Amino acid sequence: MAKKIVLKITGMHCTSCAMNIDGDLEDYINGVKSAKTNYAKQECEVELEEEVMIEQIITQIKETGYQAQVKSE
Amino acid sequence: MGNTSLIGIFLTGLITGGLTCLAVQGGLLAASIAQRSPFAKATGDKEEEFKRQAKGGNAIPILSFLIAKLAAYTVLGFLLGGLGSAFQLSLGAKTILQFAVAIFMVGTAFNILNVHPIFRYFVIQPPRFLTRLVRKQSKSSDIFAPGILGAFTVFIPCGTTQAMMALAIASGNPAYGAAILFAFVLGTSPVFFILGYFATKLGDALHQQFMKFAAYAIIILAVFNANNALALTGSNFTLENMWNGFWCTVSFCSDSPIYPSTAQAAENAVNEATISIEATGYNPNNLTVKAGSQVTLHLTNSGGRGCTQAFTIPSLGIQRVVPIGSSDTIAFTAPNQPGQLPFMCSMGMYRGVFEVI
Repeated sequence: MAKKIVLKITGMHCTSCAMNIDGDLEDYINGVKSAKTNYAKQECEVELEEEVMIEQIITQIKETGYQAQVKSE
Repeated sequence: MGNTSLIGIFLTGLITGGLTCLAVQGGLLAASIAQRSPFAKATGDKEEEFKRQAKGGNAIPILSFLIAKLAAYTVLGFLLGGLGSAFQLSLGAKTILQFAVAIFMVGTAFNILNVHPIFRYFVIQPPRFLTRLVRKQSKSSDIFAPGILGAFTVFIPCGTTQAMMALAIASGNPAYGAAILFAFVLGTSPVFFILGYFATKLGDALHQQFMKFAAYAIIILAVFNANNALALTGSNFTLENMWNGFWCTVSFCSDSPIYPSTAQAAENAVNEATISIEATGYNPNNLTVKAGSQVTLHLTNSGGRGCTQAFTIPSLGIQRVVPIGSSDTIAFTAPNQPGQLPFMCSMGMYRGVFEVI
């Protein structure tokens, strides 16, 4: 069951910020198969392997230093 | 490559580049250091460990990171300069490259200034396999990890660094490209070493101020680059000419003795002249020739090492390389129309003019 959600990200000031978000989500959130953040579009596409609380993802992104809100599921 | 612009690039790195890159790279280095220290592993407090390291407790990881980063970017600058030299085949290609670089740099600066979201597309996002490689390296615990990580930072250049990389390409010469990125990354090192990890905790307001300064520095460098490109097209609309024109109208200098009357100018007109290529440019850099006349020019290079070795008359499509210590002669026909016939180095930086009367 691969589910995709797209998050709107704010607070990124350079392309390496995208690396931080992708890395932290993939490393620290179980169930996240992959995270692809696009700096220009300011969006993060998260592919989930299993049921993950979206709040968990948003909290992790906040910890990494950015704001996130669900754009589409 | 003028020393002034290298100093300008170093200062850009010193004042701002360190901070714009530091936010991310500081965290990576801290993670890398934390991998190999029992203290950080036990407490999981990589900040504390970095502070201890930054205070010279064991500065080796930070030093190896910075030295490897400096070396890697210097090699990258060399390659980018080499890439740029491929555009040196024709004046047209070179001019297009210079303008493209100037536009890219201004776009990068506007992105930093958040002028409009569209400018985010100017900053190139490194491919994911590279960012994964860098992140994985920051988790390795072998002794050389910080050094390798430092070298890997070439894969995650921030906006300011990408602007400097564009400048390295525009220099069109491997040695200049290497010098540009060496000067910039050297400039970023002290801030990185002193502030170390704290910069990642820098107040957002302060960070924004430094980012603004980085953007303005990039715009200034871009304008100078575009101005040289404009000169290379043989056009007279360079900053200097526009300033001289403005200054003359304000100070009525056209009646002053500096501007000889036409009779006098005719006396000064030459068919044959010698121009010496020196470290600071061409001497003399102002000659008078008669419209439509055949001119013979002896070029002797007594001290010109940089781009001055390539003597260029853009509007006549003439470029002759006179290496230091040698001399050469070129002959050309002055344009039939009176006016100014600019000559310059291959980068449009060192200039002079033939007054065609």
